[in-house]
Amino acid sequence: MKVIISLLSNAGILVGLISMLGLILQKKSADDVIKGTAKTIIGFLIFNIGSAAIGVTLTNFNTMFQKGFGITGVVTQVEAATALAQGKFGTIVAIVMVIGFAMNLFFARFTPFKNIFLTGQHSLYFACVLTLVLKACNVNNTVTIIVGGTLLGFSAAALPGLCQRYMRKITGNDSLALGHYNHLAYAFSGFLGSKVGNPEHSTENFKFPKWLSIFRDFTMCVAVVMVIVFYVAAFAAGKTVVDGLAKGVDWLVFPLLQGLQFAAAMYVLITGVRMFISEITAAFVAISEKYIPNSRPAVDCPSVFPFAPTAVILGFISAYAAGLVSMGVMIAMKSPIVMIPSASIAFFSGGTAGVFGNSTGGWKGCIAGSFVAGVLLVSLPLMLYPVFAHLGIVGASFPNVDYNIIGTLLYKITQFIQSVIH
Amino acid sequence: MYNALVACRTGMGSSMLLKIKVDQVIKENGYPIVAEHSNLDAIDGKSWDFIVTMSDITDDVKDKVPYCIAIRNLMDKEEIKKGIEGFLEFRNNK
Repeated sequence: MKVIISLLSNAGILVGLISMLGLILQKKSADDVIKGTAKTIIGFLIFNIGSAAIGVTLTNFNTMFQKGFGITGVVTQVEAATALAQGKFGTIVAIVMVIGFAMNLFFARFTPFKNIFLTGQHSLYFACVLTLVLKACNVNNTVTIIVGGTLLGFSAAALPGLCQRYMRKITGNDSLALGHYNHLAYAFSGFLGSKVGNPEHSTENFKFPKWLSIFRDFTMCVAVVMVIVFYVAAFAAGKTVVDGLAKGVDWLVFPLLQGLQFAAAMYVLITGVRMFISEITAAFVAISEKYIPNSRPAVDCPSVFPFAPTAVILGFISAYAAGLVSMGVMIAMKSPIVMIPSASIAFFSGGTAGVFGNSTGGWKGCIAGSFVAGVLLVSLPLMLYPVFAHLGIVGASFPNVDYNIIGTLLYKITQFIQSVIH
Repeated sequence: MYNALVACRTGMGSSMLLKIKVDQVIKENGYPIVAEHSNLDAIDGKSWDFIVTMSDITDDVKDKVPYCIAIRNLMDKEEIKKGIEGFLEFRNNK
């Protein structure tokens, strides 16, 4: 019995079993089942290795930033925040994610919310946020799993619907939904576009210089920004502090290595995530196509990029500028916590907001919509950061708009219910 | 057997679904193709017969591979099928 409990309380084994179940349901051959299960477990372990490595560089960054500026600098990088949560509540997060998948199928089958949410990494990140919120309210594991899983499944089935009228405009048909948890920002960007601009004046009439496409490379994006951010923190902290962390490495070289190390850790983490969600997503697709024929797949945001590639670049620039402005405002207002905008989030989420704004308001809509999204991505995490910091999740935060709005609502409602009960 | 790489920028969401759809099309039509899934860095790691990716990134990669299939709607199996048939024709004419 002890063996079984010990085995099942390992998150990697748990997701491996889920993927095994999925493979068997798809009637795969025995060697495919074994290979798929093993790869899922190994992928999860790689994800853990990446998580631990990110934790190490983030701690160094926090120390330098804190000593240098006397305030907390927080990286708005969802993978980093997930990495920190993974170290504390890994198994519960994995169970919430799996229940979320099941509840998504349930809602799509029995309610008018017909979206099947196929962006696996977002299900993982959102599961993390919901788990952290409930754990911060001292909710026990069983309730966390039930409430978190149900809310995750509901969000998965319902939220993509907010964007559907704009998705029809962008893709030209109704077969595809967007599954990327900034739905509130994307829908607002589409709405704002219709107020400020004209879809006839599309971004696709412009061409951008070629070098900007280096930001399309995710690892590059993270590396460039993190090296800069580490140098800023190191210069603020000064030689003595950096020498204390660098263990013999020259203090002017240390920030470069740490910034690149952060990107390397992120690469490992993403490789792990890709491996462990691939079999589960494949099973999820197979099950939903077989048993919920009238459902609509909600897919990751790059699926809209081919429809307006220039809007993606313009949206990225606008969202990142908005992020820097928001950070400036936090510094000017002497906020004890300063959110540092992430270029990769600005690219994917800001770019998507740009595509939405462009669909209703041309280039003006693109700039306006992604600017608002950029402000939200950097400022909304201020709401939940103190809650998560209490659990020891420090130095990184979850930027996505839906996570913060739904997470904050959940936090307030849970606290209210607890105050009534006690 | 032909080797295909299905890739996107991070190798997570969109290329994963594209890979699932490509596999479905390969299986339904019995094409002699094995598809793998990764990010764009994997292009240099192995010699691929062709790559399948979203149409907005094909400009960055088309010079590095013998054949490139650009997809606009990643859930559209007809579009994927047309792309693969284009590749097979290209190979047969060679």
